[in-house]
Amino acid sequence: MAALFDGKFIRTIRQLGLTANGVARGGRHAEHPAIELGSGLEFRDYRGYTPGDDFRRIDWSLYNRLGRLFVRQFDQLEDFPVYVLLDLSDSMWFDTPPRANMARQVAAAVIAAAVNQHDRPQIHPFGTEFVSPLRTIQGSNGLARAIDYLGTLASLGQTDLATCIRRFASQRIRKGLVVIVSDFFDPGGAEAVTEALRSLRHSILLVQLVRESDREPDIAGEVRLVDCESGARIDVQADSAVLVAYREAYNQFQTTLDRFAAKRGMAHVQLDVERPILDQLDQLFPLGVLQHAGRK
Amino acid sequence: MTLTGISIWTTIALLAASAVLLAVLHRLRIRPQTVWINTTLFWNQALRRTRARSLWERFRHPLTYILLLLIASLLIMALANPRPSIDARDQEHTVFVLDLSSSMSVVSSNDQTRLDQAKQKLTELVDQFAWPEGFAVVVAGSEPRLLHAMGDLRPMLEHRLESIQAAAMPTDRQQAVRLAGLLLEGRERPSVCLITDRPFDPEILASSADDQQDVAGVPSCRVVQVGEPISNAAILSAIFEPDQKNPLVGTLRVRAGVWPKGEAIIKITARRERGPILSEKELVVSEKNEPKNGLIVELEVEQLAADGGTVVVEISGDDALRVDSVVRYQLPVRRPIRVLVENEVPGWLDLLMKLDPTLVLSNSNDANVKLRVAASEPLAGPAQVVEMKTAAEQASITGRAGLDTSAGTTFEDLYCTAGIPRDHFDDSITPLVTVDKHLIAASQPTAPCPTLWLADVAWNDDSPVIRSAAWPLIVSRSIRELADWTASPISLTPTMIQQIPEMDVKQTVAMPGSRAASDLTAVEASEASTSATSFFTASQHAWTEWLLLVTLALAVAEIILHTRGKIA
Repeated sequence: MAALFDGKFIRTIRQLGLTANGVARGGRHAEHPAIELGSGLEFRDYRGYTPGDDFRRIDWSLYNRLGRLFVRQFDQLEDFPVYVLLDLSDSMWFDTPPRANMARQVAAAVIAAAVNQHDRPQIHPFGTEFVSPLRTIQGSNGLARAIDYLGTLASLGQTDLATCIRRFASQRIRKGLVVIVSDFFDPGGAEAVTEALRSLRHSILLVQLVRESDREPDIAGEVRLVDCESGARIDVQADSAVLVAYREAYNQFQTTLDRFAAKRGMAHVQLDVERPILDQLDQLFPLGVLQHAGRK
Repeated sequence: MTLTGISIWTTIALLAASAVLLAVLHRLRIRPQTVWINTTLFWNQALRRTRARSLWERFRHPLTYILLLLIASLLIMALANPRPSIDARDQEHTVFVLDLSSSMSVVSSNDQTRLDQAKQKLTELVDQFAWPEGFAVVVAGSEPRLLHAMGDLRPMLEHRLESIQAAAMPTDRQQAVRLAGLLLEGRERPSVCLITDRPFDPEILASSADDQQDVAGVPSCRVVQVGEPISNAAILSAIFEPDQKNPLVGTLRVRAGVWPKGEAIIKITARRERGPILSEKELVVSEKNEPKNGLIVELEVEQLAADGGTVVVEISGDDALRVDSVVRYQLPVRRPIRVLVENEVPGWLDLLMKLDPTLVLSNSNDANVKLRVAASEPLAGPAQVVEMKTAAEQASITGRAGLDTSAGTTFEDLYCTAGIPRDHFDDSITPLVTVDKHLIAASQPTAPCPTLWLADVAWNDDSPVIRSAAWPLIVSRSIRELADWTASPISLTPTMIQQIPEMDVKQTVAMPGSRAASDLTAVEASEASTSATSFFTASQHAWTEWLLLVTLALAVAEIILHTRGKIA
C-alpha cells in the first residue's frame, strides 16, 4: 500500500479541487452553491412575501417605496455529495499491474478533491454486490482514513456492474456526483451497462481503466482462453480473421459507451493502467472532467 | 484388388491401430495453450462473427484427424503392396521362345554373347508382365522344350536360365514357335515372342500350316532381335527364265544381298555341280556408297539347259565380310514335246517342227508321248490335235484377209460358218484363228483330253494360211499349252550346305540376318527396353509407387496447412 499511495501521490492529490454547481439541497454547509436559495451571506434576489416567511427577511425600504412586501433571498452554500463506485471485481485484480491499484488511486484522488472542498465523499466498493462503504470522510483525517480503507480492500468476486449500478440508483440519497471507476467489462456487454446507467439521477463520471492489450491482445494460434472471473473457457484459433473481429467487437463496445456518455452529458475518461496515475490526473483535475461533471 | 505385401487381416489391424493411435495423438496435439484473460466478452463476439462465416472452422479439427488418418491408411496400403485383381480370362498369355542356335554364342562388342543378351531381354520382358502366371518360356534348342511353365514361381526362371547354353546342333525355330502355339491353345489373348539373333518371318507359320484350322489357331508372333547386325552377304533367290525361242534352255538369275560395314570384297560364283564354272562376279562394296538396305548383286548364267541338273552358287568375301555360304539349285527339267502321228505327217506339223524345237516325232512305243496328232475323234489320253471338218465351200480359203485371231468373235458364229454340228463341241472351246471369218483353229482344254481343233484346210492344203507367220506361232503356243508347258520364270528352291572348317560335321544353318530386318527388330527391342525402364508402367510396383507418392503429397500438404494455422 505504501507504493500505491506514496508521499508524492498524497501531496499531489491534496491540492486537487472539485468544482460543482447546482448541488442538491440538504447537505451541510460547504462551498458549493445549492440549487435552492438559502440563508447564505450573499444576496441573490427578491421574491414576494408569503405567509410564514421570516419577518426578518422583509425588505422594509422596498415596502416604503412600493407599498408591497418582499423578502430577500441569499445563496445557500452546501457540500457536494461525491459517490465513488469502485469496481473491485476479480477482473480488476487480473494482470500486472492490476487495474484495482489505479482504481483505488483514482478513488483516493477524487476523495481528496472532495475533502479539500469540504464535500462528503463516499466510497462504495463492489464486485458481485456492494460491500460496506466508507461514508464518513471529513477533513484531513478523513483522507487518511479513506486511504487506509482503500488499502484494505481486496477482490470482491465476479463483475455485476449493471446490477450494482441499478441497486445504487434505487437508494434514496442526495443527488451528487457518481464516479464509477471500473473496466466496465460487464458480462452483459456495453448495452447492459448503459441501460443500468440510465437509472442513475446523479451526475456521472465514468472512469474506465484500460490497457493496450484490451484492444490488441497478444494472443495467436490455437489457445484456450479462460475467464479469470467466471472460469469460462473458449477455444480459439486466433488467426487474423478472429483478431480483426475481436478489435471490431472492442471498438464497438467503446463506441457504445462514448455515444451514451455524450448523449447523456456524462463524462467518460479512459486512464491507461500501464502509465503512472499522476501523469493522467490532468484528465480529471483541475480543468478536466470533474469541473464539468456537476454542472446542470 | 489383392494385397501381396501383408495379409488383409494384418492390414485391417494396422489400420484400426493407426486410427486409435492417431485419435489419441490428435487429442493431445490439439490441446491448446491455456491463457487467462480478464474477460471473454469480446472473444465470444469475435468468434460469433467469424465462425458463422467459416464452415471450415467448424470442421477444422475433424478434418485434421481425417487427413492424418488418410495419410496413415495410404502408407499402410503401400506396405501391403496392392495389385489389381486379375481375371485370368481377360489376361494376356505369352510364350517366350528363346533361340539357342549356335549363332547365339557369338560374342558382341560388349563381351556378352547373344544368348546372354537374349536372357537379359527375356528377364526384362517377363518383369513387365503384370500377371506372373501369364507367361511361359520355350527354348529352341536341338529340340524345342518347355523351360518355364505358366504358374511356375517367378524366381525359378533365373535359376533355369543359368543352366541353358547355345546348342551345337541345328535348331528349328519354327518347331519351337509351334510348340509355343500349342501351349497357348485355349488361352485368352495368346501371343508368342521369339527372342533371336536372326530375322524370322512369323507368316511362315501361317503359310506352312497343314490346314486352315492350324492357321486360325496360330497366335500372333513378334520377334525381338538381339545381337548386333554384322556385315554379311547372302544369296537371296534364284529363278530360271526359259528362252522364248527355245524353252529347253533358259537363263539362271541369282540374286545376292550384301550389307557391308565399311568396305568389303564379295565374290559370287555359279558352276555345275562337279563341273566347270558357269559364271562369276567379283566386286568391291562399301557402306557409304550402298543403299541403306544393302546392295543386291545379280549373277546370270545364260543358255543353261533345263535338264534338271544342279547348279551350285557360292558367295564369299574377305575378312571384312562374314559370309561363307554355298547354295545348290536344281534346274527344271524341260524335254521336247513328243508327238505321235497316226498317219502321215501333215504339212502344218512338218512346218511347225522345223520352226519349233520343242516338238519331236515319236512312235507308238514311246510312253512319254505328250501329243497325238489324229484325224479321228479325241480320245482320253495325252493332248491331241484333231482335224475339224469344214463345209465344202470353205475348202479353198485363201486367207487374203489375213488371220483373225481375235477372241471377240463368238464361236457359235464361227463354227456355224464352218458347218460343224453344234453338238460336237461344248462351251469350253476357245476360237483361236479365223480366216475370212472361217474358223481355222480352236482350243478345247477340257475333257475328254486337251484338244486342238484344226480345220481340214490346214490338214490338206498348203495354203497361204499355213505359210503365214502367225499360223505356226499360234499352233505352237497352243500345243505347248495343251502339253502343260509354261514359259514363266521358275523360282528355284535352294538347299544349302555350310561347312564350318572348325567342325567336322557339315550342318545346315540359317543364313545370316539382313541389316534391314535387324534394324526393324532393333527398333522394336529398344522400344520394349524403354518401356521397361519407365517408372510408371503397369508393372507390379506401380500401385505401391503411386500410393507412396500420394501419401507424400498429403503429408506435405498437412505440414503446410498446419504451419499456416489452417488446421489444428
